[in-house]
Amino acid sequence: MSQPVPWSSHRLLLRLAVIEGWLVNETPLRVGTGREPPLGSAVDLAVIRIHLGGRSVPYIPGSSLKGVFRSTAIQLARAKGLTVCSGLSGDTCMDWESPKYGTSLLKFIQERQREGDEPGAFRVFHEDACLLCKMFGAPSFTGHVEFSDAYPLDEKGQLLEVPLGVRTGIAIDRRTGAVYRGALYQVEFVEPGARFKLTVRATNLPNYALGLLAKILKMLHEGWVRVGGFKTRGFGEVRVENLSFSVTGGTVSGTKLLAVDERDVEVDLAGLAQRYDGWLKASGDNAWRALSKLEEVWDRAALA
Amino acid sequence: MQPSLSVVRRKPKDRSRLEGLAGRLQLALRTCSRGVGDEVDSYLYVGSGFLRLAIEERLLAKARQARVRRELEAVVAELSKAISLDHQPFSATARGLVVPASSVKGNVRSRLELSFARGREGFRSCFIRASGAGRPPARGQQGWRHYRIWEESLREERGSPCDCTGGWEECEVCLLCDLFGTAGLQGLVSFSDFVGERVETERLNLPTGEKLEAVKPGSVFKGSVTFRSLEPVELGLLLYGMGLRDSRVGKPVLLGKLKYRRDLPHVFGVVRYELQKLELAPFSQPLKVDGLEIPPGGGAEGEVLGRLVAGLVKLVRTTYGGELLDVDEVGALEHLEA
Repeated sequence: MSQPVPWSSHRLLLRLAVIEGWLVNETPLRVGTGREPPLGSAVDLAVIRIHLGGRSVPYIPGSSLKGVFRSTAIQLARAKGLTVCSGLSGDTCMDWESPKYGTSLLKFIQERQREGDEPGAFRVFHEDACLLCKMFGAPSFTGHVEFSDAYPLDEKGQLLEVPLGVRTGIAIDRRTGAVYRGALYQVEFVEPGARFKLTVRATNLPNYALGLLAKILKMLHEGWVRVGGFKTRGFGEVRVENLSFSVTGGTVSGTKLLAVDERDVEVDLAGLAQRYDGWLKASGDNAWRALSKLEEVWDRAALA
Repeated sequence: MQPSLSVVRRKPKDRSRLEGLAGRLQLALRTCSRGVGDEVDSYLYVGSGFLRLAIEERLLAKARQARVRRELEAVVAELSKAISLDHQPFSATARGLVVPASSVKGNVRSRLELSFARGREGFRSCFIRASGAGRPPARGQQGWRHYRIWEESLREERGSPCDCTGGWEECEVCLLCDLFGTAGLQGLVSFSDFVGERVETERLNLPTGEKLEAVKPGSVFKGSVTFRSLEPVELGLLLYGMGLRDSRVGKPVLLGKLKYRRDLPHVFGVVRYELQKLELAPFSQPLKVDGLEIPPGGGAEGEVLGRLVAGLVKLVRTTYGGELLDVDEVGALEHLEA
């Protein structure tokens, strides 16, 4: 089924999909505060904290999770032969000079908008921006995937304990075999076993784009993708627990997620998901199976 | 000492692409033990970096009971004379004793850096952390054993380490910085902590005055190494850095504190890496070596894995030839001490 308004538009809500669960770190986890530790910190590299429920607690910012998903999506999309941009400031497909328009896509779109041709401007964006800019956002364009901050909360919204540890690191001088001077550091980390509430909301995404998100979530769960810093030194491996996948909207019919554009394929979640209050919802193993079906759509989609 | 600054550098692999081999190695790290046929019983100590102080419980109770300033000052005065350094703990997380990933990574990386001698075009690898080359240390000076063992690759200066903080355009790195990362460039190989599985500790009082909580011979730690975008020869190089040659069980290598000391009542730091399983990621290229083929999502264990190791290491030797040293660091150390 092809929509009269492209799915990347925010004018129409074709569907809302919500992925929820808990990120549980299998190995030490460190999402840092940046270069400088906060005043009073006993370590060189402190974990980021937020004031919540009267306490200062570590958390995983939504921006970190979005970064993990987008950077992995770039690798997967390029492996599939798609041309996608880096998403980095100044290097998005909106910033590149377009021979077709004689200027950057962003400038061309802004010109159309100034001239009052909003639908035309949007059509240009939909046709010429890369898939990942449509999904995750681009300059002057809000993406269709939102990542909430992941706080250490239980099912009832109560704060969970987050045990912290500190590790001292050194480097070995290759010439002497002894400790290299000036390379001592102390890094704070969240001890393995902490739980952070994960919420990802996606609007209007076709089944293949939901499949791309599903694939990345599975890669995270299986340890192929890690979160935070010190990834090559053992940190940041997480698994996803108590997963649920819910979807609602006009492109959900019974247990079927209809195709959203001409490249998309319908997915039937019969036997995996049930309807509650207008939502089609799958939980636990069934949520993983439902996401696998979407992943298959991504794997098979001819998008290049 | 002959000065040389030539390191062979190239554009690093594009981190935004999934190409080549991706997968995971499941490994065990075992302290050598005569009980399982090794030539030596070895302890291992990898510190947490923290000092543990011992204070008598009697004094702590007294401090808790102090009600007025004078009483407290008296306890503090007594305490300052009674505090002593306790046995320094082995590195640990909430999961128990661990050899941290950073220690394993440093161990494998430094062994590979030191295993490259100068080739026709220069050195294949920089030294990511090294002080400037001076006069070789005389016997008994700090670092003399290390120097003698790795002399062939330490004779020449290698200059500054690779650095990509200036941006992608100017970034050129050596073979090992491409694999393990450097400033401004993420590595393609990620190590996990090696968590103690069959580990016994012993509190040792060394004649040097050091008090350590060390891991006993025959202890086993388990962990993994995840890799992506590698060529088969680079995977072979990773195995080579762990001391693996023609089977799943590596030769003895040195790791941790006091590994070069042979003047103590105990031997420290002689360990073996043992590869238990290789898994390829679903998004990997197939691994083809020596007539064996592992498909994406597949894996290898046991005898097939042993053949794979032998095939990959053969490929490494063919590719790097005489540039790649095969130093028996444990044997060389024994020879120095003899």
